[in-house]
Amino acid sequence: MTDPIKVDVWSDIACPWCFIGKRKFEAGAELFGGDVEVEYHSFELSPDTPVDFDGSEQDYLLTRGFPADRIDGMLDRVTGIAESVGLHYDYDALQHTNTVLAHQLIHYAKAHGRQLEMKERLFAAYFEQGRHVGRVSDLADLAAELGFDRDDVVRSLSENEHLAAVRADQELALEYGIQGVPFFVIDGRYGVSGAQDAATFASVLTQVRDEKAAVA
Amino acid sequence: MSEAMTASIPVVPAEVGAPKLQLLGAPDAASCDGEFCEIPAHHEQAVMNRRVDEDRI
Repeated sequence: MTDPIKVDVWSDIACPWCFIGKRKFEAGAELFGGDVEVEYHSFELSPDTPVDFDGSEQDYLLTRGFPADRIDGMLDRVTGIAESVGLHYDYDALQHTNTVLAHQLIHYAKAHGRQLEMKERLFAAYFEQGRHVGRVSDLADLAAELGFDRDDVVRSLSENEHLAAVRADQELALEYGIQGVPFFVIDGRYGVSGAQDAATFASVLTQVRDEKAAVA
Repeated sequence: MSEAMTASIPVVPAEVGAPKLQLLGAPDAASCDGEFCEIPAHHEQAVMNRRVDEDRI
């Protein structure tokens, strides 16, 4: 039996391609069939985003200079691609927000051995269910729904207990030269950028397994 | 697929500098850089094709 292949993934909750890429990677890992150990890392695409934005996603993108005549088409296309991997994005309900607390909650869950579960929950809450993922109380509600101790989550987020871990992830992304997400670092040696096809992920994982077997 | 059981700080040693990565996969895969999320042309075409198929149904 070989050791699992370590995959470090940088992503942001507010990144539509990161949730799509998560699904594609999971499909690739399934195709690969071997042991894969996944760890998610924090990446803030837009750290200056306000926690509360009173408007739609279209309104937000307008404030950031996106051409008005392209926004609906762009969101429609992303929604269509998400559907193709079984995700049901709802941009009408989506509540744009700052994600730094959500990243801290993912680190909180990691400290409890449940990072993947929390990552999935936050993606679904943001893109599919129109839940707010930027405030302590809303995040604590989501965590409590997963069975976490709500009071302890409120304490942790209020104290910024895991902010240093978020910043450490971001510094490491800089060292790797990561500029966009999702970004997958496989076995600490290979970088795979973006929401690649499942077959691509499977191919890279197979290559890594074969290389490790050759030197064993 | 399993989950990394680690403390909050990443396992990869940031203090010694991350190793240079060899990039694999399609260079134009969809990703978000800042607030701009790219949609590669082949993805747009795939969605258009799907819609045409749906219209036929």
